Amino acid sequence: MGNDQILLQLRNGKQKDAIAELYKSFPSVRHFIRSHGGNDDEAKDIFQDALIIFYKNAIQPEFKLTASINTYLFSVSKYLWKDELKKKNRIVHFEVEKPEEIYIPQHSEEKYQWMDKILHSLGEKCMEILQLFYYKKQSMDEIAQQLGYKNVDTAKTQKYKCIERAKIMANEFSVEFLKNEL
Amino acid sequence: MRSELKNIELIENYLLGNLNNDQKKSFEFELQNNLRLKEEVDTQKKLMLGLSLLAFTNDIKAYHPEFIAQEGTGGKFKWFLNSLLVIVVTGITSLVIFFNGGNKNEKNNSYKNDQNSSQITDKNNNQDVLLAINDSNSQVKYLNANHGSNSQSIGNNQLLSLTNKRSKTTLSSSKAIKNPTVMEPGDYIPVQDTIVNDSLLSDRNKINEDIFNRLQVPFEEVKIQAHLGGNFITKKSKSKFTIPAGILQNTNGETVNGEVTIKYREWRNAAEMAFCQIPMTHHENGEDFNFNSAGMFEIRAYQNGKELEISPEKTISVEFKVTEKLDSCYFWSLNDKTQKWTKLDTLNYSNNNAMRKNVVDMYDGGRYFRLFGRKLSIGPRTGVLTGSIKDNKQGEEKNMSDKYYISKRVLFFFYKNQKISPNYIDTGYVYSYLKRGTYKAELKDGKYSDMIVNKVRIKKNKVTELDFTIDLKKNQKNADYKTDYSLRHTNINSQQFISSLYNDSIYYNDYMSKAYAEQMHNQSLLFQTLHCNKFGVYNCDQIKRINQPVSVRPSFTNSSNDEIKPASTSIVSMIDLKRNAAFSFGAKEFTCSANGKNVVLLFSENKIYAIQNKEFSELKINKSGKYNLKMEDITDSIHSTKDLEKYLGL
Repeated sequence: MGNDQILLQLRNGKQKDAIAELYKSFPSVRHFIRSHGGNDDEAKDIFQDALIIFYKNAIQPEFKLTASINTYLFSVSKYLWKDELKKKNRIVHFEVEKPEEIYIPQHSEEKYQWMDKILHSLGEKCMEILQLFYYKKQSMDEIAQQLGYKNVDTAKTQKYKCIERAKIMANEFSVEFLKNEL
Repeated sequence: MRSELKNIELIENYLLGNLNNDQKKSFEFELQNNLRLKEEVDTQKKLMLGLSLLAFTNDIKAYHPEFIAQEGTGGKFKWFLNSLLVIVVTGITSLVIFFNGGNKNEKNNSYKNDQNSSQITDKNNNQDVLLAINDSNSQVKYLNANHGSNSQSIGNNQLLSLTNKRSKTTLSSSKAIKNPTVMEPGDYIPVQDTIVNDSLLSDRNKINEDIFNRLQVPFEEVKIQAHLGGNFITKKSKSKFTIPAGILQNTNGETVNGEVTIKYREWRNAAEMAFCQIPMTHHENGEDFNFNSAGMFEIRAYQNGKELEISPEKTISVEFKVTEKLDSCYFWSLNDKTQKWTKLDTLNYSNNNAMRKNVVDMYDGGRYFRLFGRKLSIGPRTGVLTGSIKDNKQGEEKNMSDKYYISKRVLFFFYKNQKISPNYIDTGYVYSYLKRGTYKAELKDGKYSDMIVNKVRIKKNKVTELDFTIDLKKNQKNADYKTDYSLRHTNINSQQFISSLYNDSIYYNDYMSKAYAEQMHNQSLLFQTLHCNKFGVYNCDQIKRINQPVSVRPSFTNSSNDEIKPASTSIVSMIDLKRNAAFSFGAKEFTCSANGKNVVLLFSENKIYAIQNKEFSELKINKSGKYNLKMEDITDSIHSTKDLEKYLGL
């Protein structure tokens, strides 16, 4: 499967197929980490972090790849592993540069961590409907049928209510964050 | 649809590119001039991205075992996987034999408990499955290839997962299992290589549930009417849960009415947490942190055996009594599926301090505050505290503990939480002497008050109405009260106590007021109002880095120096007595702080072993490595978490 096809699948709700392709890069990452002081669990964590970083970039419409995804995932994983070793005060025996095309968020960007908190607070019902729409890219027709809503309008209203609630919480959190910053 | 929701719809259409050119131009023009709209668009965009990221993260975690199993990276790995499959097949066979007890149920003939058919294949000829049940506590209790009569009630369409306690790896089903009580051929979970050493399947049947259950905190249960709501005070910590009316729904999103069962339990110390199988670690910014808990609780609701949910946008409130006041303490929620903690809120103690101050010091009148959950006012006269409590006229028994507290605290008649000797008196007798009049009571050292009972009504030995005034005075000399009859000793003679009640003009109670002050102190500082929007496990914790972490690869010997060979299902619980938490590991390796006050517990093959801090510190473990731990068999002396608490000196 080519790069473009993988990106298309990620953007169109066919994540599983895309992830299956991306996972073909895992053995080389695992081998690298094992050879540089890590174990399988750490390799899994690092690779999954790399996948998330890749995904964050990939779903931006303007994102374009200039090399194979395998190369990107490997570079990002190496970079993350180096970071991890430094944090644990362990010696790093390899050199790696931060891949330019991929934006890797720094740890200091804690202000966006409130997003996770808000989403978890929404409850499973809201999460289900929102993820089916925004992540799985299902139509409101399909969602209404799947979740047993009376009609599409009811499902839409519920969806918007969930977003409204999330936005209210987001505003509260960001005010709190700004207060702490000041 | 109201205007706010229409606005959200418009923003969504803009972000998804669903507006035509004219609409888009108009919207963007508006954006340039409307800062508020710009913020809303930005927030909604972040939410959309956040949702996708969260779902993607969950997906990769769920798919990881499947994709690992599909790897074909070469001879060594294949050999390894095949060895794993052989071991797992053997394990499944043993497990199936155990749970079926020889029952060859033809209906589920994919999972016969004989050797030949224990190797389960799916339609793609992928070999071997591990089947797990996610029980109502979202903890995998056991593996069962044939649910039969041993199954627990679980919802449909659940992803099943098994967490290996030792390696902490999780393998999950590749798809939702639709009807979990009857497994169909083709429902499968690929085997994950990291589970290779886990002979959980074969050894699990050796665990004596009864002994392990001794180490678990049991649930308390209350019943409420879902359409009316209700609240309850927990026996353990006097924490108060309030469930508003009409907020409970079933898993289909339909509001439920009628009687529901609320199950609740809490873990307040390391002994209770030792084998609770709830993770006490948190991963943040690539680092692992340990929890230091100020109390953890779990709350669930059921109707006819089926688990209920809280409706979206609704919460239950909890006035939770934390174990201590910790700085930088947060309120956390555990995800039942992923077993990861999410930080919800910061715990703030300042309001309670202000409340306490209001009670015992003089303040300007006209302000309201809460005392033991009751709204009380400070009247126009400076320093006067008035209040009244009325029982529910419909006779529904609510807040009995509150009333009892108020009664005891206000009247200073009663021992803290104790009945007066039943040989002489019961509560009704004491209450019968409560009447209108003026009493004196000490609120705090050096501070005294007049307490005026304006109105009291007693019904069936319970105070159903009490109207009182306490006049808070400062700096009153206590000399006037020295001649009063006083109760100075904690081991009060009941007859003396009864005698004091005859003197209802003035009395003085040194012990009672101190007990009250202590109670006030405890009440005001340690209760936190928390809000839970789902049923599950919650925690009040600080997060701490491990100070000088060391990795210990233990071998175990008993008091006779014989080797203890832990089963693969063994659990090591590492407790640092400087922290209120317990950390679970497999028996092969655990991490602790070289500076900790460490105690290690081992549960293996129906026995409970321990090495106390004194013996552990004699090992002088200040770097990672192999160490022999000489363990004491404490199985016979531990019948509950209370026994363990006592053993650990908590």
